[in-house]
Amino acid sequence: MLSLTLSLTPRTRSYCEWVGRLMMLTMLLMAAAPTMAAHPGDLLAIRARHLMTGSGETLEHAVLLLEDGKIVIVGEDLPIERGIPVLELDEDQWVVPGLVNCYTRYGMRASGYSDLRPNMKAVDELSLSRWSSISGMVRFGVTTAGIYPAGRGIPGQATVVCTSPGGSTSELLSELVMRETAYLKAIVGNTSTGKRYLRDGFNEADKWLEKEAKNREKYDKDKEKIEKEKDKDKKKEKLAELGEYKPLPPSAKGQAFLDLRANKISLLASINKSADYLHFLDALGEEEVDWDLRLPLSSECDIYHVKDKIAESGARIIVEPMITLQRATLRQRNLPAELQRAGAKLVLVPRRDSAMDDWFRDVGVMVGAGLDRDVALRAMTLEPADLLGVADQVGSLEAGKEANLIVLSGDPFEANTKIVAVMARGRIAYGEDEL
Amino acid sequence: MSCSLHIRLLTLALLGMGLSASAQTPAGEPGGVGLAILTHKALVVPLEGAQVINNAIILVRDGRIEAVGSQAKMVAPNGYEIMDVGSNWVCPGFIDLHSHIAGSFGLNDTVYQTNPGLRITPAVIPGNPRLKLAVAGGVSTVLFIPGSGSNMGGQGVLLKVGAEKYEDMEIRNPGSLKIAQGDNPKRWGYGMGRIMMAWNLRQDLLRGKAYAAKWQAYERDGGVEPQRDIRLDVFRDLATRKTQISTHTQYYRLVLTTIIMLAREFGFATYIDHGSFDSYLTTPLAIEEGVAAILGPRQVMWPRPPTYDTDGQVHGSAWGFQKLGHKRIGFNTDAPVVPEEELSLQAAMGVRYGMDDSHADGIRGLTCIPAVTSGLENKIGSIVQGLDADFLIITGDPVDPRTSVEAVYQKGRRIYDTHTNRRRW
Amino acid sequence: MQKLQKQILGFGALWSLFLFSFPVQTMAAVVLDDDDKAEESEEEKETWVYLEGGDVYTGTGAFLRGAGILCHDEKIEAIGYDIVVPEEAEVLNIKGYSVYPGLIALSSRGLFGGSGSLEYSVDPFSDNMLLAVASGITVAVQGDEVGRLNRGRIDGIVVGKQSFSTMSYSLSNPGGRKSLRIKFDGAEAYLRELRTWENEVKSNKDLKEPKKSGVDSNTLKVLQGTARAMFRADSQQDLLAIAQLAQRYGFRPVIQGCREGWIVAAELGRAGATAIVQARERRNKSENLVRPGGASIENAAILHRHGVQVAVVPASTGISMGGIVGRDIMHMPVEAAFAVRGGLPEDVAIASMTQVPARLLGLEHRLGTIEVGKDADLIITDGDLLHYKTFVQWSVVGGRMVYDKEAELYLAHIRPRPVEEIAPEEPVVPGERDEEIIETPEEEADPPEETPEDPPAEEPPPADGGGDPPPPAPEDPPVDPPKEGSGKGDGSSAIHR
Repeated sequence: MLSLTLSLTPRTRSYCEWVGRLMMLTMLLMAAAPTMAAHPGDLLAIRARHLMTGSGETLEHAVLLLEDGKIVIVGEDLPIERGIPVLELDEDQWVVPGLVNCYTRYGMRASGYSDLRPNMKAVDELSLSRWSSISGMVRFGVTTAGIYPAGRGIPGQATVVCTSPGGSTSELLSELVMRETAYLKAIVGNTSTGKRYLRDGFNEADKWLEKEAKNREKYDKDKEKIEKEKDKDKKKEKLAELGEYKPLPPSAKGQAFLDLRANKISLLASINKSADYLHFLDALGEEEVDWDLRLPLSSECDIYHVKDKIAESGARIIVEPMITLQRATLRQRNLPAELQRAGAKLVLVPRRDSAMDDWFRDVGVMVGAGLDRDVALRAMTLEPADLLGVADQVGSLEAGKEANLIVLSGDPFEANTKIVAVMARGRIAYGEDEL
Repeated sequence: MSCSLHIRLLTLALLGMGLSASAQTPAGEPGGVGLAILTHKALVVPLEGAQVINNAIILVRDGRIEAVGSQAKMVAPNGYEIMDVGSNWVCPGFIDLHSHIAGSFGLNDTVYQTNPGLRITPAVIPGNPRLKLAVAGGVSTVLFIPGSGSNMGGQGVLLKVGAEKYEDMEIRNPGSLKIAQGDNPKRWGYGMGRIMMAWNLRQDLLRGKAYAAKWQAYERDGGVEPQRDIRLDVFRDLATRKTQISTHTQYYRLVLTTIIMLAREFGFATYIDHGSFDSYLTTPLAIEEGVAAILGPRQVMWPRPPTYDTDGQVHGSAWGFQKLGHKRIGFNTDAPVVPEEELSLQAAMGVRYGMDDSHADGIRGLTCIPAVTSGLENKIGSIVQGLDADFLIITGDPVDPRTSVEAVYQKGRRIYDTHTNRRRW
Repeated sequence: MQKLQKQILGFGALWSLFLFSFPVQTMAAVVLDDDDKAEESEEEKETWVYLEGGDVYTGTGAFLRGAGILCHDEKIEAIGYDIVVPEEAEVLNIKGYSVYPGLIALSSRGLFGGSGSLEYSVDPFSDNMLLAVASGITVAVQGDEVGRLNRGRIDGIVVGKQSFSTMSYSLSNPGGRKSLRIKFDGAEAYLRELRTWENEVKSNKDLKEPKKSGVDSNTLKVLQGTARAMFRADSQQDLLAIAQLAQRYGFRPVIQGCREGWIVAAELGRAGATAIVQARERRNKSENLVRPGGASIENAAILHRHGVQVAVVPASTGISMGGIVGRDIMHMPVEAAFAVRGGLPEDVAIASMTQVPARLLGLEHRLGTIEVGKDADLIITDGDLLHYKTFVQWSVVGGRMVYDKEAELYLAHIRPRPVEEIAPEEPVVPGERDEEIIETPEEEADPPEETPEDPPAEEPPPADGGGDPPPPAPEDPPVDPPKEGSGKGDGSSAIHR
């Protein structure tokens, strides 16, 4: 029954209402069912004057029903069955999805290697002792984080975690890690080595494939020989000796690139300027892999040369919410808005990990400078969730997704709006006293 | 078409004159017969009026220009030696108001922070190889000045480049008082800033002015002769505007202090020397105070944010001064920073980077503008009656690097001629 | 006709011979060859650029007035007057502007925006690349790579590799000289053996090929003609020695510097040398030297007269933004103009930046001149390339328009192109216009034409008449009316020699 609501995410007001009524019926049924009643504490309704879903909608007089840390239903003016605890928010408070910071090293070691290490995984760095600092992100509204491995060159693969500090400590890590590996980070900007490493990586993969093919060929030949053996016992004996085919152990460096080719992970290329983008494409050549871009903004950044090409590629581009000065003229330039207008999929990340508490305010400045509100929120939630490959679980307030949300003291993009409370997986992770 | 210069010396007239005193002296020089030069195009560049005379005749006698006119209206007087330069042009010799190559390079005696008493004259080496090259580049007059190691480097001297003896070289001493306002004098002593430099300069200027006033009063009213202070002597010439202050200055904000402090506050005859980069932003002030702008060697401002405000364009200093209405724009080399013989290239680059030269502004910036700036407009800088016969015979537009200087005359004397000398430049 | 004549004068009278007699390569019809391109066209669309009505300085001797150039993808497809232009072509009317082959910088720093190998580090959006194409350079050598300034793209950047064998043969290092001779002897001996073997092996198959081991590969390449020997030498003794060495072993040396080349130009000419010179090289000769020495402004011209090919390079191989202009790689034509000052013919001066470098790099089949089939590397200027006021207005690199002066901030404000009509103004001789704009009212009333009221200046009395000075010239010297024929013909570009 829940799957029904999943597909019926409210689109328009009337539509919402219709679904709402339908769901009220369902909920009534559920309330009546004895199994549900056994865990009444798992149900929670939230009533908010304003709610942004993150997928592009703003609801008024919104109602959220949560169960078991998941969203059951979202809608406008939904009646709530008696018995379900209701969290009534203030008139001026807003609800938005928990933020997804897909590009961070908050709470992690800062130093790394600077060569080709695609086999490094950020997930291996995680430990309980690190957790206390990582979960610190939650007070900035970040409920999902993509943590990348430190270093230059190709430093390794990022992992996706839920930042919620709750849960039983023993199972903590396995519970909180949402995806062990999400993207392979490659720094292509400023140095020519990035391009080289990328090519080297794919070559490693090719080399392994070649070796593997030879190995297989040899095995097949051996097997063929044995098959020709007339003595059945001997044949059996020999076959047993040969055994099943065992593929070669994966090459440490090549494996990540094989995973890339198999779309198990995506590639995140960090570039600094337009030229890097062209070099990156050149390095990819014919390879068909999923890739996105990371672009640290600066006054040297001349990405406008290729913004249309980036838009055309369908790749997401991670930038800071920053107005930059164009170097030649010192004129202000809103590169994020330019990219978005060109049609590129925008992902906004905090200016620095240490400036995560300014994230909303910085994006607010961009909205003031002409960036669409919904696009802006989407760039902090659903788009990065999509980049991390966890958009089916987090990133927006939609039925079926995890109950990650933020209660704000006002409009998210107003300068003096504060985070009142943060809920991660249905649990209030920050600001319990405020509610 | 022969590729070389035809100087046809029609010495017929000489025959009728007898071999008297003038026989040994070439025409045009003091003591010699008159010289009549026929040229296809004379760039006479007077301060006012028509700049060019086509098919011109120039009469030179006793080292001076006797008359200039069109061949259609004037003929050479009897007895004048006639020199037809064919298709070549004639223009005044170039003047460089910022040069360090007329002698040895011991120009930076930074004894004190300000050294108004130092004179450059002992450093002059007449006829040194660099000067010889300068002549071949058409440069006939330089202001040889001390370096910018100290705030007030000392007194420069205006020199004719071609002479072999110092007495013949000197046009005016002191040629200027050199004040430097760039970053160079910051190195003096323990190092100092602009504020300190300006403060110190003003002290000396005030002292100098008072000293000059004392002498003026004595000369006017008599009384006790004031004690002579050779450190401040130059201010007597400055007070009577017999000489000027040539200010090594560059950026807008430095030029600003030049004009405000030296011209407006103290009222000295001052000009911007070594004007560079965005100095043109001072134009309204410079016009108001009558301060000429002599530009070079760094006379193009590339967009260089964030240090300087910019609109992303390449701005020539000359372009800027001219656009804002300045009429006295000249060029210098700061030789050896830019070799002396490339003085004309400075004008070429000024024009290339935006200066409008439809009124011969390029060549004027090499000749009559520096002449009037240094107070020598009655001596050099144009080809008009009464001035020194300092001129060049060249193969075309004097500003064009392709144009070759075929001969250089100074006070009517031929000091360089590619016919008789090896071509130097 | 007036204009035409001027132009002929500008490039030397020789052109007039070529102008009408030279076979003009014209495409009667352009046949689109679609077969090969069909597959590619999805990714790479064919590009056609047509430059219409420019004055084309081909560099081959032909000067085509008001001709068209059709570029197809990277190559020049047609040059001439009756070109059939495909509909999809981007057409640029450049009537009144001049087209030259793109300049080739024999060594450069930072033009490609990076310092590493071109493939990995080129930044085709960098300011340096913009300024390089703005100054007419379309191909430049960085390190040992020859790169094309393919602005906005990173493909097709590398055109080739330099293939010089760098050598030293200097008086100051007798040991080095000897060892170089030994290397040449070895290589020569090897080649002799190789030839003998090649002849005899036909009849006697058992003969062994002579061994290459111990033979210096650098010198061998030079003698085989696969690489040119590059020397850095300035003094006449060294130059002479190199010329003799080259003649002894039969190779054509490339000499960088070549400061005193003018003194031994004949010998260098006999050796078939190519000189890479700075026109403004300065070094006075030693004071105690009796014979000629030192640098000379005439160096390039004298070398050229003796059959030495001359490439002119600027003093600085990078782009200088320090404010001193006219000496860096952005001002290659200025450097060449100084060679003209020293007597180098103007067409040779242009070749010294185009054809000669192309030849030195072994790329003369692709670069250096405007010919059908060669790379479409062209620059379009608002006048004589060697004139100091001339700016590149458009650059075409590899058949693509990569620069438009008006579209970039740097230089757009300097003498912008007229909006109404596309042709640039008639070049004006500095000062010339003054005669037309005479502002004083007296002169307006009394136009500077010869008028009967304005009597000719009195004849000054004869010089021997005593100390009487001649009557002063009229206060405002009478001025000739601008004579179209004589006054303008020499223009700003004219040098009469």
